[in-house]
Amino acid sequence: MTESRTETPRAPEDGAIFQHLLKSPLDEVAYIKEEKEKGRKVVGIYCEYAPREIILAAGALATCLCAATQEMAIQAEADLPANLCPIIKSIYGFIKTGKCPFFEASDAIIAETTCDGKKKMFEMITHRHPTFILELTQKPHSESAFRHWLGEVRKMKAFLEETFQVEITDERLREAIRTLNRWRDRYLGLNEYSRSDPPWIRGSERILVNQRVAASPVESHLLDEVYAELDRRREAGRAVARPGAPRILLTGTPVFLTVRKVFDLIEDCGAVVVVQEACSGVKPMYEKVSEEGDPLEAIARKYFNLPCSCFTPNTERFRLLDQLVDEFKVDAVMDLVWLACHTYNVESFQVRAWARERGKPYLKVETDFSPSDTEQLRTRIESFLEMVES
Amino acid sequence: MIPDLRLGIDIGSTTSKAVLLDEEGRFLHAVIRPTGVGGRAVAGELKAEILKEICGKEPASGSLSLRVVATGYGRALVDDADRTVTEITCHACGVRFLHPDASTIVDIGGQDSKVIRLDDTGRVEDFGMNDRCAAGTGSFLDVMANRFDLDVETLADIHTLNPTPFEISSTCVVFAETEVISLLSLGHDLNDVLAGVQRAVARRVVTLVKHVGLKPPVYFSGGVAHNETVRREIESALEVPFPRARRAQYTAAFGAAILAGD
Repeated sequence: MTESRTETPRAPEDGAIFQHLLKSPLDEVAYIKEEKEKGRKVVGIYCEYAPREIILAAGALATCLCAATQEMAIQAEADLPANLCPIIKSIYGFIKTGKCPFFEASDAIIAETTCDGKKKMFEMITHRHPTFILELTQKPHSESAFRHWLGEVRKMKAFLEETFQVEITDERLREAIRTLNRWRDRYLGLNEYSRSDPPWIRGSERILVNQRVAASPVESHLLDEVYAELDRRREAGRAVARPGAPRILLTGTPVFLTVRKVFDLIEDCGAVVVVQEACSGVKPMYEKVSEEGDPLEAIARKYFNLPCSCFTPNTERFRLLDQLVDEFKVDAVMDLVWLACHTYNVESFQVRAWARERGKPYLKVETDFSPSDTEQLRTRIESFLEMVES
Repeated sequence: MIPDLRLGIDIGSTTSKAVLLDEEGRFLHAVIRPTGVGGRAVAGELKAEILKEICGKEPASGSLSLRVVATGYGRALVDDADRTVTEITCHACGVRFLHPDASTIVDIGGQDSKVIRLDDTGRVEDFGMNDRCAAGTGSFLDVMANRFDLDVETLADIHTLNPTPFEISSTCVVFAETEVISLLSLGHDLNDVLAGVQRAVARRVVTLVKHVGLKPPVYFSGGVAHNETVRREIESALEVPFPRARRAQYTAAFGAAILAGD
């Protein structure tokens, strides 16, 4: 009836490149330092709504800031409510304790009003660096909402021009658009290795690539090495999961390298996350910036269309989920919600209904960054996978 | 002849259970012990106890062939298990064996509560677990009973005739205790308040049933299934018969023993 999953050995991220990526924040810190010495400015970002094209067109480096450890969430509780999303607490904890080297190296910060908790927390840290808060609108189908967002993006461009004393020309924007579109294409080439049956890359390895390569300034040669490793696996027939292993689509809130418990549990139990829909997965990559028309408007449009649960109604998320279920031949859907993320937590009701309609088993996991519930989660995830495979 | 026996071991958070079936899946014996702090030792003790009961003495090594499936939170601690299966799958299998018409199972154990919905063939169709909040578990009742120097059986006998009984609204054991003390300090009757405590457990579980979706017939398993007050509270909220499963504390061990025969 069911296999014992505790006997399934957990293969480590083999291949030198994945080992390297596991420890590479040090490389990133060194790289940022070098670039700063050459006079380059660094812009810290917290969310996929930050338009990287504009930062690139300003000649600056965009770097993702630290947002996820239990220790930093605890540190934050001296100033913030305990029942707040652990991402918000963690961001604040890192800044308060000076432990995020990327924040310390930043010359400016782009933040945004994705949720109430984040918005209010940012008020507590804006004194550290010049900070621009993008005001997100909430209705994705409203043209007036888009016009407002376009205005915010325009003000952000002006903020960077003013802060760094540069001019961001349309030509530089167009060049940045082309660069990052090419980059998205190259990154999405990984899909070929996840779509296949059997898959050649684990979900936990994609997290590494997402966060160490896609999100970091030191990128291209690392991605080459990732592809070389995956090709070697494919040629040698070294699949990352046993035949028939359940293929999982993970949706919901973002996953971080520092808090991989849900990912690791799924893959420890013998399943494989073939695609992650969240903003730490493919969601920000699937739509590119139009290379036609006014570049700033094209940039604003791409980011406006990102289907985050802070929008209402968030219909585009379900269109993307539909596409991913088919594209990756998904067997089951798992929905990760960090505690106190109200919008994703409420939207789960619709995700469950959608999964039911698609005939896909669905499991919601609500947790925080603490490892204390790991064994409870293991039981739940293992039970779910037994159900999927029975 | 070497008998081909099937042993299911369920190492739960509060109690550990073992069920032994013969080579044709017929019931031979069941034992239960407190888990305490040593799940690994308890697994060995359960096995020795159940085999001694059947063989009349410690069986000589090699004199019988035994297939073992372990389940429960401590399943990984059962050293000689042939495999481990989660308690969700085991409860489903055990309850379905004991009650072939079962379509939904409510299990309230020491550390968590579970609702499992089965399809027509007895496979798990969906399930929900409450494992982060102690209200809705047997431990909650233990804490409350201890607070008032009662044992859990006595607590279960406390019903109330109060037409407007209390509801303990706190979802956390510690705060519920505070709430209970506040109610008592206002002069309310202890029995009414303790009935409210048990209603709180029932309420949490009913919410979980509604989330997963109720498909009758529904059976009640786990240690708390022996608490008649909680059972009746759930039954009246669900508005369908809610009988206690046979061998209610052993259903997962039963399922594990059955799966040992696969």
